Amino acid sequence: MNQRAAFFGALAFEFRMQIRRRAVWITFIALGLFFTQFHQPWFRPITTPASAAIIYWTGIVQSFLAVAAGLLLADRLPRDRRTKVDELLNTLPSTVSTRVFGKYLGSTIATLVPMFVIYSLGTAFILFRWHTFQPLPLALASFTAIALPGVIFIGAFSIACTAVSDSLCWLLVLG
Amino acid sequence: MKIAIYHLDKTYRGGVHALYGATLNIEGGMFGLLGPNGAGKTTLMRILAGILHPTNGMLHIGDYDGNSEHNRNAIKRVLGYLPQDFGVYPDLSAREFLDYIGILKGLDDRTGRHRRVEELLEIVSLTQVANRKLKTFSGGMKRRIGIAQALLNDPQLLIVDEPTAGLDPEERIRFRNLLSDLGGGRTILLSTHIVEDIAQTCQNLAIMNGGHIIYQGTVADLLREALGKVWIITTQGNKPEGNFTAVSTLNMGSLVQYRVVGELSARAGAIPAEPNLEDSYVWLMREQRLPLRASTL
Repeated sequence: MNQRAAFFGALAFEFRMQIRRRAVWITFIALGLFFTQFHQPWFRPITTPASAAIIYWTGIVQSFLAVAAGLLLADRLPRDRRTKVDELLNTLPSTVSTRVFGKYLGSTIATLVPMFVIYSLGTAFILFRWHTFQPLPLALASFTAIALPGVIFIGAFSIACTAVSDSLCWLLVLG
Repeated sequence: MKIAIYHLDKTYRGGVHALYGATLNIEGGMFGLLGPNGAGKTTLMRILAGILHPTNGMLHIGDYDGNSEHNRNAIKRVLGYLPQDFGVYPDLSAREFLDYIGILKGLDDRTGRHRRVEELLEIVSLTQVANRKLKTFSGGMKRRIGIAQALLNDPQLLIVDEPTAGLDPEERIRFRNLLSDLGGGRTILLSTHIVEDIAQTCQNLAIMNGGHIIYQGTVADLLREALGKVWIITTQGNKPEGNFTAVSTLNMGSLVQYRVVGELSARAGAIPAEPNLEDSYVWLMREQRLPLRASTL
């Protein structure tokens, strides 16, 4: 059994299922609209550096959108039990760890896509308002260094918590 | 693929004893597992599929000892399983779902896997709706997807647990015919509480009740057990009394016809009838207080 193929297969299909979830896009778009009203790094005085606006925007994204990402990822594992797919999956030759790791990575990457879209729109507006592309590398680096690790950690934590609590409940009930 | 089970026990946490020393030998072909709800059929299916571990006992599937983790993984490569509560990912299409399961079953070659998916969609008559999301499928259509996924790896052992539960008569017949066509060189274990499913598809069966295997043998031998035990009694409406179980009641206007199973011997108005599998099952359930009854397979 080629576990590598199973891993990439799980990653691909979990990505597909998560990216298709309307709730993921609606959540991030709604949060993006919220921030345009109540947290506005782009309406700072034009004399302040654009880089400061970028960093502030990255901070908002990392704080709020990352939490939203965690909430949207928390149900990925319990969903298998809810949809009753888990019994079938447990009879397949691919290992649980392979499937779960593929699920985690695929779902997390899919959740990062709308998050990055919202971040990009905010960054694009900042660059447009300040009429400069100079902070663009800073924006990309900030997202990679600040927002991305946060989502990766929160995603793993969300899925692990539900996996542990689910397994404990399953063991207690069925033995 | 042969299956041999010796004194298999299963006790769940909390003290629920689901299997009591189950011993079974299955040589191959279509094999039925019949019993009422709570008999232990699904527990036995799950142990065979490697989902549950037995508390005690031995299990051999083909050349593999099912008690070791390594061999359980080997069994999974030759296994096709359709669970009683078959679930799907609702947002995937039928084609995508089969493709995903195919990858997880080890079908790495993309071209071959896609070809296999198309073949199976054709077999279960779902090619026209293959791109529709599974959440739009009816119960019968989901069951067909279930059997399709079970066949992806061309398994030597196919376990189907209550496959026709909840299906309408036409779907049930279609499913039974599909199962019958799959016989070939594989072992198909059909677990059900619907007697007709077994009658139409299996020559060999086992009957379970309360965690025990109370009968193992051929359908023909089981029918012989009930010879002379099935009667038709016609009354003018009043229910007949006696040591028997009424299997069916037919209202014919001023008269009521009862089909009963029991020891009636000579009785006015009671006409002996040829037993069917349902009659034999009812007769066996009445007699289950006796030790395991087995005939030569």
